[in-house]
Amino acid sequence: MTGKEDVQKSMEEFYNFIYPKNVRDFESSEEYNTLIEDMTVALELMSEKTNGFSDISIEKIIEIINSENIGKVILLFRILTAVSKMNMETYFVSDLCGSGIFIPKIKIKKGEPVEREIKYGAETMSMPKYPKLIELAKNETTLLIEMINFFEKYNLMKKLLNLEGKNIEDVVELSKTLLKYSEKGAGAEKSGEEAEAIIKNKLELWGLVENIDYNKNDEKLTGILERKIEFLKQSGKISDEVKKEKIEKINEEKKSRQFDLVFPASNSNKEPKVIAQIVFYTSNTGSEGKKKTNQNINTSNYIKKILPEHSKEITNLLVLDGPGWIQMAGDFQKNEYLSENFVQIRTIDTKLKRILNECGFVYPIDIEIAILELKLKNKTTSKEKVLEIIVNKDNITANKDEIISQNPQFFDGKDDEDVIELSKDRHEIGKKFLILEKLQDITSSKKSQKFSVLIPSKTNLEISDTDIFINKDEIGLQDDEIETILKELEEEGTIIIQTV
Amino acid sequence: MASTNELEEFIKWSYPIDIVEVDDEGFLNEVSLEMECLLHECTIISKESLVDYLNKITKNRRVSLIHLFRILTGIAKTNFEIFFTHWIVEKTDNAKIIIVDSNRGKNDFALRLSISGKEVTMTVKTFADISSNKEIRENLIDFFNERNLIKKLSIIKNNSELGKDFLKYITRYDSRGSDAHKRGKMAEEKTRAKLEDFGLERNVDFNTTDWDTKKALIVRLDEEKKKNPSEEAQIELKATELTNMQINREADLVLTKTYPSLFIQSSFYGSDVASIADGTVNELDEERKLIKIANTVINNNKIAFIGLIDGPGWAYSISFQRLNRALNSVDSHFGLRTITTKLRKKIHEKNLTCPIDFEVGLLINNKKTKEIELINTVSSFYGISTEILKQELVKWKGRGKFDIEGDYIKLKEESEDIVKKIFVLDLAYLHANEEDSGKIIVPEKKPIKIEKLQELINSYNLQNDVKLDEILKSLEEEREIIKII
Repeated sequence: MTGKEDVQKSMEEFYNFIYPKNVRDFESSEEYNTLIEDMTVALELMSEKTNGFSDISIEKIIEIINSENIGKVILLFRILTAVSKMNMETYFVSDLCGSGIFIPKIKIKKGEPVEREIKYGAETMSMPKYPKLIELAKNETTLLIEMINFFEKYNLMKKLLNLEGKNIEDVVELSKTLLKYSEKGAGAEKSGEEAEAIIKNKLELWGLVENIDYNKNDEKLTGILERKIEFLKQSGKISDEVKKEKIEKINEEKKSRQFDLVFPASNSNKEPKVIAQIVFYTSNTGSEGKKKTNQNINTSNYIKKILPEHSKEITNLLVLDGPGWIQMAGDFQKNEYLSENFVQIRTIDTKLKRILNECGFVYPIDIEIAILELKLKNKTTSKEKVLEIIVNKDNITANKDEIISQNPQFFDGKDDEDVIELSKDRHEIGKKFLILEKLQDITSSKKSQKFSVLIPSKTNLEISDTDIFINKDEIGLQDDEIETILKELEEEGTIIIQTV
Repeated sequence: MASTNELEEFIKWSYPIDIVEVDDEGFLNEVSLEMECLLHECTIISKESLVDYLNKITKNRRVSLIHLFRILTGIAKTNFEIFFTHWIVEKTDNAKIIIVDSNRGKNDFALRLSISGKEVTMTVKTFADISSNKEIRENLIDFFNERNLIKKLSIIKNNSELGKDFLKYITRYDSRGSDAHKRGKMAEEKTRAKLEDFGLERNVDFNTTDWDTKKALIVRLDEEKKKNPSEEAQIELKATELTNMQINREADLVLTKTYPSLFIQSSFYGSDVASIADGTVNELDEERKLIKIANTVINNNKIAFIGLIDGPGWAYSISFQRLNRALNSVDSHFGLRTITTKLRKKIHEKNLTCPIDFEVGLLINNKKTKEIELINTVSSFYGISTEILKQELVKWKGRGKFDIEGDYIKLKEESEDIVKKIFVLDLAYLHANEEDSGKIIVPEKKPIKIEKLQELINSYNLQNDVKLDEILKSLEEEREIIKII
């Protein structure tokens, strides 16, 4: 059971390292600029053809729209009437079904209903998405008229007439806000993908290989569990019968959660050890945040159900982040599971790395830190010494053989005395991680002189500058170099520096 | 997997429009007035003039002005509160988000924005309040100007008509940001209003606010214990199992409050909300799990779990698999257009009645009859046992649902219109034959001929009282029936 103090500690870490921005900036995207251009073209066209928005009628609009301009004109109408693409796919289709123009049908395959479809005239099609609706309206005047009538429910004509005599540039500027509201929602769910991309970039910097060390595409929990079961069978921890029984149990599950991050990937044919889902909230999602996190708890229970004795061998994390969480402090602390199992974009290089190390992974960056550490102390970087330094680290649980087998590019064909080199372009990144590692090892004891550093370490304490510089021999870098790197780490958001 | 018929029926009877009204005239007036004042007072639109203007007006007016700025620059209220907080933390030296002990609610801690040692909440109101500080005011204008506030205001200054129009359009978008949850609540509320039309009462026959599912189930299990004292230990065991379950759900609507028999969970989607809809399905699964546990010790009249699953989103844009999963997660479902028919049938199946059922019986009996006749009429019309009806009639009589005249029970005059409508609908739903050439469709049935319906009314000798054409028109307007043109 987590106590009040533990929750407070987790909250402090969470809110100190929260990602404060949107990971996906719609207004600086190419998509946004294209939409603005299209909207401007449509405004100019409408103005030109309607004598400066004075000659507006449904007939006139039908006359103006052609297969070339329909996409842009409908975009303009949508923006002025606050109708999103999804609204068209839902409400316009609903209207057409209500008026009998579309006839909703259920597609049947092998006697089972498999999909909804629409019968329109002689054609039967799957539920029309926005481009299909535009395509249909392009070729069928009846549908185009219905579409304009649909917009008229939201006072389109009046809105167009109100533009009479107005400067197009001004209209465009004010319409940008409308466009933002209208189109932004569609991309909201992409925040998770953007966060995933940021995280995967960080992993690449550690020297991890996509599709081997971590997954390229989302992986299903059922697949992950099957892989784990296969591994348990191969290592003799479960019998063939138990394996069969567990696989059958998994197959009973109709649906399966997808995991955004899986270490290592299914492609590696190795045992899956750490899995994570990404929950990035740009805004307050109300009760929905709770639902998503509840799903993760259910997942944990499901793993326990399938693998009661081995469930702890799979670490199930949440990458929980985003500016929106500052309005969901209640949700965060209500859920004990959350406060115990989260990592954030800004704590990937510290907390997630430590978790992965503790789960037995040793990555190229770990070897590089060790080489650098020896080099900075002017010691020989022999295979033996490098391995020795790694196995003696607190966060590393792998033994020498496992380290070698996970990192053949450094050790293959090398004898104990052979020197392991660090490529020149990896020095800077190596130093950064060396400092991060050392900072996590320092025990806070002295008062700060000029500043203190916050790092999501095991203790989660502030480390004073005095503590850092006392330990500089351990780090092996000069004061100014340490300060520069600390500043860089602060700018990246990996650590927080508080001046006294 | 739901059957093809069920899915076709679902789409056919789905509520075709959104149920959230978005026009908020009061709010639009507030920001429009604020815009007029601002443009009148500031001869030149610049950061300095805006910072200065903010200083001159009262705190309440500053709230309105912040709303105006965020609407013009396209930032929702919640987003403003979130992003301006982060902005302040980043741009000012002495600001940070801190965790404080919470003195309200269930949580131990709350978040505050600490500025120069002063702790404030992160709301529009607070930001309006602390805008008495020049640095905050400057930050506020910088924050909005990153989204082109000054340019937009300058345009409006030169063309106030255009500004007013756009403010109206954008406000519509802004007010729309209501969450999916609100729609579910509204659908629930519409159901409650219908139940009231049927003569049921809030807080007596059904709950008005969400009710902890486990607690509601335990109320029912307590009733079961009273009925079957020999099984008390076993029931008690299940009650403990329920209490210890890690799942926590809240039921939207439970009938009845004293004898929970029917649990309704509401989900109305105006449009696609993929991942959210997925969450809804999981919640339905969880609630069903709890009900299943209670049902293992209920021998008769087991609890039904019913979904109020509706909205054009479910019908047209949420994925077919999700729709299927949602429909499979409940014992049965109904929509806003099928409350009178499908939901009422479920209520009857659970040995419950509504006063309207007896009122229909009274209508059939010339609006006035003796108790035994009324019970027999209702029993044959709705197929409910006379035993149940006897108990139910005592209940409704006791609550003054009908006029009483000696041994006679009379239909209240004010109920007549609705009773006639429901009588016709029930005739079509429960008693009319289906015919391919029919023009009237009611839920779960093929077309019915209008002539046949008239014949049925005549058979009750109600042709003078029940004007079929008018009633059909009204039922069609209320979306209770579909008329084939």
